[in-house]
Amino acid sequence: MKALREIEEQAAQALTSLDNLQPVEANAYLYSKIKNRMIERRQTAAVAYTRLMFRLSAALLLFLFINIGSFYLLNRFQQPATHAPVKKAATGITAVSEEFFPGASSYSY
Amino acid sequence: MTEQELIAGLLKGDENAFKTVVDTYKNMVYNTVLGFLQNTDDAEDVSQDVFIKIYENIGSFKHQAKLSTWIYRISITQAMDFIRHRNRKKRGGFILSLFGSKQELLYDPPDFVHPGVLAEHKEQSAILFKAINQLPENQKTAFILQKVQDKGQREIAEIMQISEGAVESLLSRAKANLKKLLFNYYQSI
Repeated sequence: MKALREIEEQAAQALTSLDNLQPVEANAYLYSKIKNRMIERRQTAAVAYTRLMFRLSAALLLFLFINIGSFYLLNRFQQPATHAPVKKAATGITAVSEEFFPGASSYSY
Repeated sequence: MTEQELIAGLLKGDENAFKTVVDTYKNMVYNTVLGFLQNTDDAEDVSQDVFIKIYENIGSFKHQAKLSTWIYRISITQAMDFIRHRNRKKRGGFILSLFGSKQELLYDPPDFVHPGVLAEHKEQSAILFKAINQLPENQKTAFILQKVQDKGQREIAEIMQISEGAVESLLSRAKANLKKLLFNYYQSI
């Protein structure tokens, strides 16, 4: 087992191991790399924006087609039905009363 | 080019001004980020992000501090964000962070030998860097700025936007914590 003093010395030495640290040179081509990355980012952003706009316009067109289509379809099939005279369901007693008293609902004084 | 001319150039989007900023501050940014990330490839990636941030956000630079101080702040923020992002990815840290879990210990790069360390100190510095990773963020920042960037307490205080007294306290706590961590390490081997 290590002596306490030895451990303390090692810890103190490690603590001072960064003294006189030499600065490291950055990549000489850093500027070109940054420029490339900026161009890449701009292109990616432009593509993403175009895609988003394309999707939005496709969704809008689909929505419009659904609306217009449903409007025409509903108009075509429902028009005759809405203008047709509504026939009342005749019960037995009304049929008999209409047969024998055709002007029963209109009074003539 | 003076600092004012550089800033004016950056504001106009002048590429020459930007190139001058990169050439002037690239070593400073790279060394700062390297101290935090302890990985040369990651440090280069983050350095690029730092300069892109500078270019995009120069409009928000208030002339209250020096340009270099502002660049230091961006470098530290970017490096810390990178570490936080790694931690989150590693262990589903997003959920942990919601419960206030501390994550200083999670980012654990492999043994790092700083390229600027003297040959005879390489092994010890790798152990020290491992211990630095276990410090709380503000102690780590103060310690790295002092040891890696050779900054004085006043400059550290400006960069971290705290008082000199607070820096002194951070540094002494960082050293005490490191001593404890290193002591435990050497005791265990």
